Amino acid sequence: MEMKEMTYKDAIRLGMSEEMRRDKNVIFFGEDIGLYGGAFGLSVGMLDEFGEDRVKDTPISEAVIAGAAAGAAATGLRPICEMMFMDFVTIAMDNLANQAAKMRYMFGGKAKVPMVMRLPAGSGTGAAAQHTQSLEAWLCHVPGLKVVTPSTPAQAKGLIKAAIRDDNPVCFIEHKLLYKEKGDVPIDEDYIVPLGVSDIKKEGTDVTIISYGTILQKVMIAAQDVEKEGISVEVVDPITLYPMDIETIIKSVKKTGRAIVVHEAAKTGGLGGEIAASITESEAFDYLDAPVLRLAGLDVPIPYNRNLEAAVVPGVDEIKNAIYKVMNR
Amino acid sequence: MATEIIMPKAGMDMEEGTVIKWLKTVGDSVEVGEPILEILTDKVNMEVEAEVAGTIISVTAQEGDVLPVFTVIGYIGNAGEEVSTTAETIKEEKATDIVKDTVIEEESKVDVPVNQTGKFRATPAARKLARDRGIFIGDIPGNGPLGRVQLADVEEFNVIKATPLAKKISQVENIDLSQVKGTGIAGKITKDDIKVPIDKVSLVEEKIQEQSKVIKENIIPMVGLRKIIAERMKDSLNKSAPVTLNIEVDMTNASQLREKLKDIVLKEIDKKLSLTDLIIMATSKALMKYPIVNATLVEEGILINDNVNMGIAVGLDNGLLVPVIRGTDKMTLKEIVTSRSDIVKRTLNNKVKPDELNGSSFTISNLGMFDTLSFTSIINQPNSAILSVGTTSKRMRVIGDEPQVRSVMFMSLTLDHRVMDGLVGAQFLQYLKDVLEDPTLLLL
Repeated sequence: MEMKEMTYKDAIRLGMSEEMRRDKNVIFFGEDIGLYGGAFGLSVGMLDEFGEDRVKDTPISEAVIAGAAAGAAATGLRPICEMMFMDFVTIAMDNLANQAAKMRYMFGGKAKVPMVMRLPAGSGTGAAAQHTQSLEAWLCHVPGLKVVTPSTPAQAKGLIKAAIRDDNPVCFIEHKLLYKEKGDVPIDEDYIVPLGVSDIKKEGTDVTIISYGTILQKVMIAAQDVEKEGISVEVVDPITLYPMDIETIIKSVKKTGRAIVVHEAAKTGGLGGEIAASITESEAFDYLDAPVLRLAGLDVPIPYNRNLEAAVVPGVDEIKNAIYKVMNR
Repeated sequence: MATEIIMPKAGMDMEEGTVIKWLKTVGDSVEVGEPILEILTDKVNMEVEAEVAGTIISVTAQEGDVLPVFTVIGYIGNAGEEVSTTAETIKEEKATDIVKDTVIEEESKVDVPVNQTGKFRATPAARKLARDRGIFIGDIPGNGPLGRVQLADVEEFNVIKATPLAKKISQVENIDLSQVKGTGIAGKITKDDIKVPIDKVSLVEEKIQEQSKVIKENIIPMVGLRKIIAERMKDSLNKSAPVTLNIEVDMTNASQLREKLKDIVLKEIDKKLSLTDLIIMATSKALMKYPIVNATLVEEGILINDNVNMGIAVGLDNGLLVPVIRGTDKMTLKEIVTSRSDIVKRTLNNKVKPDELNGSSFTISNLGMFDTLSFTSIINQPNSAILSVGTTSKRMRVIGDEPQVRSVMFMSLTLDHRVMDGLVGAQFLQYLKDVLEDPTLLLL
């Protein structure tokens, strides 16, 4: 497969652009995504290529953006809409959760809502409590929504394309800290990362770590560190948070007998609990040799102060300590 | 402060126990590990040992009482000490009420050690392995956090395998069993491995038998073993859809084989080879060929067992026990003889362990030693089938076109029609018959 090195941000743009070239029903709108090229410069050049009819700046109303996307999708288009920050999805929630997520079901399958909502998430940018949240658990809790989150540039491209082609509302969570991460991306226009399929990022035999998004990089560093001490960590990136590929996780835990879920989102009510419970209620239970641990953000608003901001999400040392704990070392 | 004597939870299924006999009375002093009373659990008699040294200062349960597990049945303390004023004043009330008060008082002061609560801290993986290996999880020291038993602890756990009699002798004679080399099955230490004068052995044996005597009255209470048997039999009939198939087997060749091997086996392992052993071996082979007959019906569906764990129905004066020989499909005939004679003997002596009565995948009931021609059995849940073996006797049979005297045996297979159909049962019986009629097939 022919590859090209590019950033996570550029990979998302490439995926969107390819789909817009392929299918004239794909449109894109959001706040400042046109002329300005997006708050993070992600959509620079798209207005020039596709014109004002297909790349549209919207008023500053997330409710309108979500409602317009749901309506456009129900009447035949395949809209991509953008929340400038994931935190603002709270304003879009009625149209997303009560309309977009329900329509296909309530009309007995006669209506479909093939929309994608892009949601830049995560802390580490010093943008304070209202611009740094990881709200994936809110979205996973709404039946009718699919939720995905790529952790590499290649995944980002293949996954945005799969999300656009899916006939259901897909929440596409992007990580602001990953925007500048570079990686090899297949330039093949048919390269797709299917929804609902996880990726084993590293094989191991002693502990399974389930993690996604930005924090996955810290997990990989921790896994490589403890490898030198003879602890073999398997790392599973679910990629799709709903519907999650839990079978792969269960299979991995049956092999290792230990599991840790690591995410940046606050611990209480987070996906960590969901994944841990799915493990213990599965046939992996009889193979567990330690309690399943959740390593997550503290239950506090993300602080503005950079040192405090770094302190509320798990770091490499904390991940290593969790590994030592389940290994009883 | 006084230490409680409790009704122990000796097996996973045990909910209540019967006080059979107090071996010590109020005022007697006891050492750690000394037997203080004998109880009847679900299925076996066992002794409750003193957890601390001291004097028995109170006995709150009478012989014959049936009590829930963990009920306080007495106290060990210093001579002259009283249990406590509260306990004294309500002594006449039910023992369970006393338990409640005392337990609350104790808990507010100290952590109850794990082995007194009857719960053991262990990971699911450790429990699974212990279960598979037939080790009681409470016997394994935990090296994990908070004393949790982890997989590695089970893997490294080295059980001193010894017969109960050998253990008893070693206790009386102060012998360290870890220094004794076992010559029994899988290195198990038997009484013969311990060099003690024979009269002492029989003394201990006598003592054990004496302790095993159950209180006799005109009415047999539906408790303990009788109650369990009643419940399990009825439960099995309620649940299963039993169908019985009968077959006649010409045992002439098998009987000749037994005659041929009997003296060799006796000479080598000092055990008597019985037809049952050959039947166990042939049946295990047939079960591996037709694994559905060896299956267990579980919530998720039909579990095909990897091993044959052979339940052997053993009749006692007061009931029926089914001790389990694990992995008979992988055993040599010699190993089957050793295991079978060991476990049957211990079962008859009421010295089989609760965990040895669980986990069968198939059961054989053999009434051949009586003149019973043919019979059916109730399926031993959660097995899917049971083999009932009748007597082997000489009969006239037509061989070719000639009448001949042959050794003939009837057996029946009762199967659970929920799990399998009559066809597979018939195929299984046919194969089993073929193997028994031509035991050279056992070599294949």
